[in-house]
Amino acid sequence: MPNKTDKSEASTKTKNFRRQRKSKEFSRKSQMEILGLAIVVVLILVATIFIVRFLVLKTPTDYRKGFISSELASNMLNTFLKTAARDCSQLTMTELLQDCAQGRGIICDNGKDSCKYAEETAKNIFENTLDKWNMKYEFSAYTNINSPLIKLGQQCRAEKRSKLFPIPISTATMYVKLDICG
Amino acid sequence: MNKKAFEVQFNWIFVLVAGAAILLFFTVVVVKQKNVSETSTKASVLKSIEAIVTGASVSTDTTNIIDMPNSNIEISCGRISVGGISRQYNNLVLFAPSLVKGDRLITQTLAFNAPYRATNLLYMTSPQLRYIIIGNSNLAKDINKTLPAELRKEFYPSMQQIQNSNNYKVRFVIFGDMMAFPKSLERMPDSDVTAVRINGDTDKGVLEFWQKNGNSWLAKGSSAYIGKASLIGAIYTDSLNAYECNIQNTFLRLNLVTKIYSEKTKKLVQKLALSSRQAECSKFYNNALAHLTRISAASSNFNKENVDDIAETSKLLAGENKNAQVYSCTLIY
Amino acid sequence: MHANILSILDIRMNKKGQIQIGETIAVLFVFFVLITIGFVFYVKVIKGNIEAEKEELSQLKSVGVAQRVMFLPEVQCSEDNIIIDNCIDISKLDAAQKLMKENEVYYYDLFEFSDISISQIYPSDAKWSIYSRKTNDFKSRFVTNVPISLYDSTIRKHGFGILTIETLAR
Repeated sequence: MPNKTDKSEASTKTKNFRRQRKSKEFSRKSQMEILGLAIVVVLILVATIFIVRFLVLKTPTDYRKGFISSELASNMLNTFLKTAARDCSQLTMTELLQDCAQGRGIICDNGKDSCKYAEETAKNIFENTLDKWNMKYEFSAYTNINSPLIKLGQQCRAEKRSKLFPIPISTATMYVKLDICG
Repeated sequence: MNKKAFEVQFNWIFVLVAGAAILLFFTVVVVKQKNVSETSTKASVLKSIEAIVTGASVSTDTTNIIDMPNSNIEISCGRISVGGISRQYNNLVLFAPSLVKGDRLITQTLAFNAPYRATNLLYMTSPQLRYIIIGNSNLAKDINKTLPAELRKEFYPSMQQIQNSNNYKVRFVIFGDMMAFPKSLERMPDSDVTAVRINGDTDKGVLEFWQKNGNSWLAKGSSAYIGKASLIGAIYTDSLNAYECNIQNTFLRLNLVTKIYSEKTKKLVQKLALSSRQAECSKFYNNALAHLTRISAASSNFNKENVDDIAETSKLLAGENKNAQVYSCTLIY
Repeated sequence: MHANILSILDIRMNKKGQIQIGETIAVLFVFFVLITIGFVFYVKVIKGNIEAEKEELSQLKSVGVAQRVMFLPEVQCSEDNIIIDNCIDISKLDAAQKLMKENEVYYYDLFEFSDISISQIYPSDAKWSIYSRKTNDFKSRFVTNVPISLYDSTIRKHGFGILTIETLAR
């Protein structure tokens, strides 16, 4: 027969056991709560970073670059084609290129044919402009793209601004193209 | 008072003070933020208008509808204000009513030729402003056609019963005799109902500016116009002062551009003397030089006599330019 | 005995109240510190945005000046009053140069602080400086080069030129 002391010992043990279990349960519960809080904090942080990065921190729009690149290729080509040759009876570059694609009948004062003269003029102009401004470009004049009559500069590897100008000739159409890289 | 009661009261006072501090802090932040955002909106509107003014010098014969934050734009001689923010210009050419209200702007540009292009005239108004054109002449029809379709405009060949459609401003454009003041608009503020009476043709004419005065019209003075572009300007502006300020600035530009054409023509004469290419050209250029000198003198000041002089001389100059074209001479303009 | 216990309880209660108030003050302090940090961060971000907007505005001004020069009736080519785009009349340039110098205040409204020059690179070299008004007190400087056709109306031929616009923004 268990006496009174044994009984109280047993009840104390049970109480302690319950308390320990309760404490463990509490500890696990609080851990879960902390984890939940941490997740919420992380989510809020991610959202804040996202908002700051994409909505609040504005990167300035480069209006000038847009304007320059849109103007440069077209202006360059239009102006070049209108330009009168110095020692070729004041013929325009368009007229010289037309002759270049149609049999090269024109010989300029310096003894060069229309193709050579137009090429040299283009080279001279681009050296004083695009090359000076450290801009990569590709200039070509062709009736058949695979065998261009004139080709200057290097092919653009990435982004480019392009201007294609068709010039009518007796047999077909010739094209003058200027790509400005970047 | 026992300690417990004091503690409870202190607690309440503490909560009150802390709460008030927090509320005050956020109120100040909100008010400041509101002011900042309002100023920023006004600044962005002003920025858009500046862009429009820049664009006007670049494009001719264009009409644009521009959406923007709802605002009141005040335009006076050489000054554009939105709220407290304003931009001052020395020689702005912007024909517009004194107040442009709403969230949309209508802009139009036309070239001012006398006979060569001296500048582009910029017009600005609101679709909430009502234009009533009354007249049966060809000029009235032409003006109605030139004004943008987006404008809140009504065209009547003769005087009609005018209804009040709650516009913040009403502008009458009258070709012919002055009409009686419409009864329906008697309740509107005096400065919001104005009229311009036009007497002339597309080349030149006289303008009379009128304003509501109770239940009748009050004459505010008269001026002149030269060419359709300046006539359209008189329709857009609602006061004689604003019109004359803009036209004076236009004349100043005409004066500068004329000096350039004079120098160019002198150069053409010199080059001809060197090459003695075409004797006829020389005659046209010398005639043109005399006309240009006359335009230059007349454009130094804007008044009716000078307007007549410029209108007449520009016709003669246009004739010389045509002659130059016929004889394959280099054109003057 | 009873009174003694009450006084001890009262002191404890008093201490508890003080701790509570201290706690509240601490919480409020931390709250305001957080708010201040947030506000400082916000102000910095706004300042950054204003700088970005200033940069944009300077760029827009630079583009505006470039456009105004290209369409200036004082130098633009025309044929029977029909404007030729992207073309400058050489025979107007000398006069324009002189006129713009004489009327610098008038043209300041259009070009502000900038330096505008035109260089001919083909068929011969030539240079015209049509407007120049500079300031040492500038924060940004933009140089825009625009290829432009230079028309000599006396011989009716086009040359190749570059319009250089240097804009300074404060």
